Amino acid sequence: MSGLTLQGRNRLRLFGLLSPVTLLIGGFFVAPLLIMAAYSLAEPGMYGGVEWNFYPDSFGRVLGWADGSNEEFDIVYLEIILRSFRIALLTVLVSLLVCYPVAFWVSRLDARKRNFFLFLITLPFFASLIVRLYAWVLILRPSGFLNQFLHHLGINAELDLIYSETAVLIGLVYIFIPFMFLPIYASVEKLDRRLIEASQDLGASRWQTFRKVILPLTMPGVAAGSIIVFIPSLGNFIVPSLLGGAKVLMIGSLVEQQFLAARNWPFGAALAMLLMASVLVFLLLYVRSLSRAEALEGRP
Amino acid sequence: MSHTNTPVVEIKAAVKHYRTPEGQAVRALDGVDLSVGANEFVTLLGPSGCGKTTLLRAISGFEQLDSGSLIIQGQPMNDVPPYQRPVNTVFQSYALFPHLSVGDNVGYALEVRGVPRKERDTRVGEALEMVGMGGLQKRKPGLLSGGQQQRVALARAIVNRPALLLLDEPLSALDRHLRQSMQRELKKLQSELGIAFVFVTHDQEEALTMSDRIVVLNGGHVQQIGRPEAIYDRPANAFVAGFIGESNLFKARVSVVDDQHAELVSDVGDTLRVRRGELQLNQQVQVLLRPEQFHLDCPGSSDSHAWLEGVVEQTVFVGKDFEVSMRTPQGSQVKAVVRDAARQALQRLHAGETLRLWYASQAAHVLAGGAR
Repeated sequence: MSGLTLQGRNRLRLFGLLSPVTLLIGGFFVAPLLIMAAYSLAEPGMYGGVEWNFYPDSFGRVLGWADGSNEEFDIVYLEIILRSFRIALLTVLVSLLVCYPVAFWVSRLDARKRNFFLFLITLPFFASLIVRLYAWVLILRPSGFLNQFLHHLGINAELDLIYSETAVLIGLVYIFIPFMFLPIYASVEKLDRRLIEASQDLGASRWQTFRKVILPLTMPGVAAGSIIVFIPSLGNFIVPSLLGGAKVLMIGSLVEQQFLAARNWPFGAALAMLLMASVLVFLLLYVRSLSRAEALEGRP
Repeated sequence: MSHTNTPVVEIKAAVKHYRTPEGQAVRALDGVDLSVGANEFVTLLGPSGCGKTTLLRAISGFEQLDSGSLIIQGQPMNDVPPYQRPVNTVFQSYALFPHLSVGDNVGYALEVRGVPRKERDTRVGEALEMVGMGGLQKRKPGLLSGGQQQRVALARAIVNRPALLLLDEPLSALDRHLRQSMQRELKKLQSELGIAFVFVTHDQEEALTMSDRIVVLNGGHVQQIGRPEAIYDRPANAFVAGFIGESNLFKARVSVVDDQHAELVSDVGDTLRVRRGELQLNQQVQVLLRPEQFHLDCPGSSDSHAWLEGVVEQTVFVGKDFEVSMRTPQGSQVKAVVRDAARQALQRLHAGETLRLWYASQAAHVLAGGAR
């Protein structure tokens, strides 16, 4: 060690610290991704394997250039992608509307109650996701708890929610609410209450104060929560398979089907690549809005 | 300093209770009366927890009074929300909006009122000019120094020309030097703007320097309202005497009276001589002597002067002045400030020396209600 300059030692230390994470990401993230990318452009074999020929028609089935000689373009895949986007965006919107006011309420509680509430928010993680979703099946099915409860109230609505987009939406919101809540709560708690007072003092009504001070200053939390909820809801396949049935197919379930049931790995990989590309677009938008917010706060 | 015209703010019998988390009731304001005239600089002075900030927040609308009336410019304001009051505040922490530029911070009050962009820019420029921050509209508050943020907060609060400007310990975060220059600037700004200032501080020096009138608060009660000189020279009670300036306070009983003077004996046996005034024989009072009222030699006729004798305990040179601490044979500690001019007499100030401190019997102030 004594032979090394300080700079050399620092460089060695940096190398040592960074190599485990580099190996981890390289081995478990980049390599599988490259394999997937390769598969998406390979030809599906007759009995579920792949032939290593260049074969862009898996993408063509979705995007339109499959002419029917090998694969056929079907608008249904674009519909499924569109539906996935719609459901994911609705999930973001609903969980945002639920979490934003609650975050304010929680941030005003005293420390003991606040910690208890934060514990409650993380409580669902202690039980299996599958079990919790089956509980929703029991609630939402025609003879389920929801209809029984309404019946007891004297309302015979006979809601047929299960296996519908609404059921999928309920399930996704249920799963992702903690992911929306925590970043929003973090930014709401950081919000300086004196700024709200200053705004009112300067003559801004409650609504003006919300629009000009509270919303801009909590925007980083809203953006982070939205991204964290949007991406996994877009690719989610458990909720649509359990609560959406065969009617509400989302792109995540479609990918799963291609890999496990249809055994068309190239098509499954192509769908996954398309999903990833669209998510990347959203991430880029997020990063750009974040750097703009930082520029607004005068940070370098 | 004519503030005889109709008051900008009038507060009558203001009461505000708090409940501590332990369920204890605290009286933050306990029957406070206050009126502030147009163009007047009023300071609310007191130790922390005296109710001064509560009073300020009641005027700005962030606290609701339990009872009592609050009138601003002739309008009852008890139920008016903060954003509809013709009052602006400079907050202790400045509370500048971090996501807005300096210009947008200052223009905020105008923007929410729908003032057009062009007029807004002009008025923002003027306000920043007044506080010596012209041309910094584009900066973000995060990039400014504490003193600059202070000025921006000030510009933001005056841009809409409120009837009344409230200042909540705005200088407490600045260093001593900056604080002193800001004190003068604030005073100058106030007379230029011609609007009333209500200034909250726990710093008595600040209060004495800047105010037209000082309101001394303690325990939710007004202890005294008056001009700075009056508060300093003739404090209404022992609290005010002790809180403002250094003081030697003697509990005493009137033992001898003649036409002009009264002689008093303190509770430990020191003899004091004061102007007679309204004093009656055997009356219990408190006598205040400020440290700077003492002299080493009798400055005039010995008839109008009296002295206290004791042993010097400590002498500290504080630049220009000597602070002398002396103990009388009866055991009272007396603090005196002796000017540089008396340096020739320095050997008399050595610890252990016997010293005689002279004061004009006129100067000794007898506190009303000293019997308590």
